[in-house]
Amino acid sequence: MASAINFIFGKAFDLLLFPFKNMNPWVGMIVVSLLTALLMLWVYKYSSNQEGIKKVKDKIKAHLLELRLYKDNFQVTLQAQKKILGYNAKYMFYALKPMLVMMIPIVLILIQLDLWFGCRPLKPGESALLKVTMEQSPLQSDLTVQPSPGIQIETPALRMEDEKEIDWRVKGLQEGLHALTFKVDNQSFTKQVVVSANPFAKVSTARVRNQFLDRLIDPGEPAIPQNVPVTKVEIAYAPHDLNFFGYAINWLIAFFILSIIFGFGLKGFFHIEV
Amino acid sequence: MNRSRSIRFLICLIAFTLLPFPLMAYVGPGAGFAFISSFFTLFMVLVLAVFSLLAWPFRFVYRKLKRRRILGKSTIDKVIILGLDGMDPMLVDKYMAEGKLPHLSRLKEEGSYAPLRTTIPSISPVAWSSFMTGAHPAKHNIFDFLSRDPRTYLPDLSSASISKPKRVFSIGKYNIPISKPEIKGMRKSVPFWKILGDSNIFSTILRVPITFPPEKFNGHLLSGMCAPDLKGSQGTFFFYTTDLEKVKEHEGGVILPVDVKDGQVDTFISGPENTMLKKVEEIRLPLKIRLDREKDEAHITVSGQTFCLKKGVFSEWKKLSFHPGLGLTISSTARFYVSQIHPHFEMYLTPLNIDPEKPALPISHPSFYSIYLSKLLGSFITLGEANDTWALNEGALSEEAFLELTYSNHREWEGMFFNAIDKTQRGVAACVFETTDSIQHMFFRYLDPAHPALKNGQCALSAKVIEDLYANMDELVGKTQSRLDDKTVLIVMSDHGFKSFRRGVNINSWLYVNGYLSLKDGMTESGEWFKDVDWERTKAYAIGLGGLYLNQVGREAQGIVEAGEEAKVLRNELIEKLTLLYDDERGEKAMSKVYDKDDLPGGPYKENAPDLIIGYNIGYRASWDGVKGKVNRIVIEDNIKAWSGDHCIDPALVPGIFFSNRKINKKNPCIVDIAPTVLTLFGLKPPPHMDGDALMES
Repeated sequence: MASAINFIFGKAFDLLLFPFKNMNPWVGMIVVSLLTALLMLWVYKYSSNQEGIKKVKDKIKAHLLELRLYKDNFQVTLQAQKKILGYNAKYMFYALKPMLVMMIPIVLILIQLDLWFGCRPLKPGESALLKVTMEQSPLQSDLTVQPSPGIQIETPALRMEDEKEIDWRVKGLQEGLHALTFKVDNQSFTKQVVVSANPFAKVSTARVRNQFLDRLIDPGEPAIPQNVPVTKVEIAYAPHDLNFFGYAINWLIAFFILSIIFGFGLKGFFHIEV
Repeated sequence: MNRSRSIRFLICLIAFTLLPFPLMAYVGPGAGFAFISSFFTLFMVLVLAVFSLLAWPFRFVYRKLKRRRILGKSTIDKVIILGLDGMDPMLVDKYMAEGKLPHLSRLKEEGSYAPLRTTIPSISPVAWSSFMTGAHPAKHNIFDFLSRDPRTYLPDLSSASISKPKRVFSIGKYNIPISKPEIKGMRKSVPFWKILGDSNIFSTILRVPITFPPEKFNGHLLSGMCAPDLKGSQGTFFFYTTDLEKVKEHEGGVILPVDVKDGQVDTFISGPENTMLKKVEEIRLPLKIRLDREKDEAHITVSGQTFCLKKGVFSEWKKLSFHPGLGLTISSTARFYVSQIHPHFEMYLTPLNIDPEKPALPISHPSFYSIYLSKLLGSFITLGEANDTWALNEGALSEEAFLELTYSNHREWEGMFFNAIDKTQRGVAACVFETTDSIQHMFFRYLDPAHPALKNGQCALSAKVIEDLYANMDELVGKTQSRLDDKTVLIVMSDHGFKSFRRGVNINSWLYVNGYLSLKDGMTESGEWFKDVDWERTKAYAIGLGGLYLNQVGREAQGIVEAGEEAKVLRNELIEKLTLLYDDERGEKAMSKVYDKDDLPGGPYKENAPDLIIGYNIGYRASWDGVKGKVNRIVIEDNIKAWSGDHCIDPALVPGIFFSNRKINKKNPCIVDIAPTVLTLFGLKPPPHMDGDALMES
């Protein structure tokens, strides 16, 4: 199930963002935010009580105007304030259903966006921590790692019993999509490593076991085979912030603001009450 | 079922929120929309609450100081004026005697009741102007619905003039206005609410006639009678039909012949003129109607919306947006009514109302008051002549549909009125309901078995329509009474009464037949607005519902009657002859009294008054042709229209009503007494220009 969802969403986002791969990441972000806003407006339109929302918003606006119209009448202004708060609560209630309906697709979209915008690849010559989480104590494990050409293991394995973890430092040497091959208990599997000077690329930080939620959250690579005593392999890529006139902005904030702006900007065009 | 669904929903909600998503704090634009809107609202409320709390003591002290001097003399907090346009004292007496008006009877017993003398002439815009100014017409300049332009002999609306913007910027095919169109109210003098407002006494004035354009004062006002529709007319309805027999010239409306092709009608709504174009043309809105004969319903697509309408059901107010170009939008509202789907398709569309939420013309004071009412109570009719009497007159609406629409408008006004009463702490809340006027105009024949219209046209209902109307208004009085306290004065009043309108008198034809009006050589009759009148041989002409003008030298463009002695002799001659006008067919006098303007109360605008005002006898009124300046040899004819009751007769025969919960000190009150009464109740001295007297002390 998780694999199917990941496959569909993954392919969709690969297709969507591929044309912007070599552009400024803002271009991809703006396109995704716009499309998300359109999708969410559509979902909002059909999952919400549009008539109810319009009525409640009208009442709120009416009582706001009442505050101006009857500014000398203390009793009326107090009543108006009380009614605004009441209708505001009702408005929040009306927003609850579409919000819940949107929650699932939005979380899936955010997970995909995190692959593209969350971290940047290793630059050539840059190192990062490689963490392997085992099922049991790593002290007796015969787990080995073999880098492909283009990357290099810089340090010997550091085994931490309490965390059930084995760590290395991995270094990018040449640009490209590389692989680390792990061997344990006569089994082997790989983990992607992306090395690129371009900060905008799809980066899978972790490869996990076939647990539904874990797979949903880390969808960038296939599941680790079940008979391997490893639960997760992770590379601590550097986080990727968007540059906004010299200020670093987290992609999530940019996405939130842009999708809201597009949503509010387009709602009138589509006659949608939000 | 509902409970189980709710429980399941709750479980899902809790389960979902407990899922350990790292990004669960953010749930997308949906939450963002709600969060931002709610936060904005809460923030606004907080700011306004703090501001109003901080400002209130200062405002309170300021108001107290300003009011102290006047309100010290006043024992009342509130005056409520319930205007029932055209409510007739004779019918009120009759129905009270029959026990059908319990609330008005109670008001009569506990307070006061009297017929209310009206203005000369007894026409709503004239009478309500006198109501608000406390002065006779010569002081407020309103003498009829229509006035005339002496340069052209053509009619003008007496209450307001709207002119095009003076400055425009020409680019391509457009004339872009860079100044506002001038909207000028023609009513002069000062309404009592302005005087109250100057003393910081707040009023809410709803739908009082001749309040368009709205004037600034300390209070709220929604314009009434004479506020135009989006086409600039006093109400142009639309009637779509496939029945070519019904496609003829109609008054007050546009009849559009349509075809049904593959179950669909493709037509348009005729909007306002696009004055932004150098070559002015009408803005049209495409209208598609898909008919479902089996379900007896129509699916209407217009202005970006599609809705289903059952046959015989009025739609809600629908927003219609007209686009004059350059990205501009003119918003209006209208209601649809499909009266027939098969064998003929017939649909009525109300006049295009100025959208109260986005008013294209000023219809309220402050300008956002109409927006407030619309948001609070829902959209409403903004057209001055709200009830579509012409649509019934012309057969575009059935009697039942007209009543439904009229009472629907009435309910909208009730909502506004009670909202105003509830929110007025100290001041005036006044509303004029034209329901009484419109229904009596259109159904009075049922009270008059001898009415010619009963033999023609629609007559499916009975006298109960009028009886129900009075009972409904009595209920409205009852609901108003339930909001009274000891410090509130209630006035229930009408501007005039009502009588049957059986026979129409064409004064212009009478003038022609008697040699006072001449037609161009070879003509035996004239088209509308004196098309074929020879002004160089015409001594007098009539315009409007009761005005007769001399063709005076130096005043009219082609005047031939000298002012002074010659005019006076002619006026006397006309009065003498017209007073004797006899209806041979009915064996009745057609005239009760003809009023000379020199005998009427004076004022600075007396010169604009008609030279003579015709006071018709009961059963008579200006004929439909006569009002429109048509001339022929038919002087008196049957009125066979549904519009079968009227009040444009001798004012002495159609007084209004006056009820109050307080005793009054005058036996024969007059409509000009209301304004001084209200001022006196609030401890203010009525200004000397007011002609009326205070009916009660504060």
